[in-house]
Amino acid sequence: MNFSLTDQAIEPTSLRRKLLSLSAGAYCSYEGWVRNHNEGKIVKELHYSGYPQLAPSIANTILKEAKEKFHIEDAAVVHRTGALTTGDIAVWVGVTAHHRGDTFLACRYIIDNVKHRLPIWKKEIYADDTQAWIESNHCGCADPKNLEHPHQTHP
Amino acid sequence: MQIHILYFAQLADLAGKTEESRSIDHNSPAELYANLKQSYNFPYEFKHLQVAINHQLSAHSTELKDGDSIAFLPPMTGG
Repeated sequence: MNFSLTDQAIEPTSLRRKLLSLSAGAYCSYEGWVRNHNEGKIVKELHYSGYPQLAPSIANTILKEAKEKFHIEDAAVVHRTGALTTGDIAVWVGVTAHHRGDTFLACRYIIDNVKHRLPIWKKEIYADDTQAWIESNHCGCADPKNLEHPHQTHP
Repeated sequence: MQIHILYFAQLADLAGKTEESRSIDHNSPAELYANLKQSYNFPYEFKHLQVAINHQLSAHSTELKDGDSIAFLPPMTGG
């Protein structure tokens, strides 16, 4: 299984190592970082709450879709839970393929779908100690429907 | 029948708990949610939530059985 929820710091170097393959010519990764502001407010922490009994099956469905849609060798996702501070990595996605094009497309497909479909919720804690659950991902995501591979011919 | 309910995110905050068991005399997730919404002042309409029964996403119309675990999932905001 290439998905995990963790309450420990995400270490991209060790995660990348697990994807190394002599037959892969390309590797692309995405790191979601905790930034210090959102919609005009100063953010000091993010708290992620997950549904650990459901998240793996959803994540594996997303990864399976990515493997079906794009010519990739492997893909993996790790998502943090618990309290994160600015600069921490909240989510990591890694993809390998023979060629670079599919790694970019698959990586974006995976992160966009993770944001909308993985049962994880984000609460922002602000500098003034107020807090709010985020209700939607205004993340500039592409519509996943538009991320189909332009030359998709394989099953 | 006895139903186990899991709460996440804002629903857990408003309920003041992450899970509870309730005895209900119907088998409808919609009716259960309506009762919970009233109890805890949940802000979401049922149609805006996903339903997970026994840790699997399920149709809103799925009938509950004795001993089931159910979660009403707010829009997800990971990443």
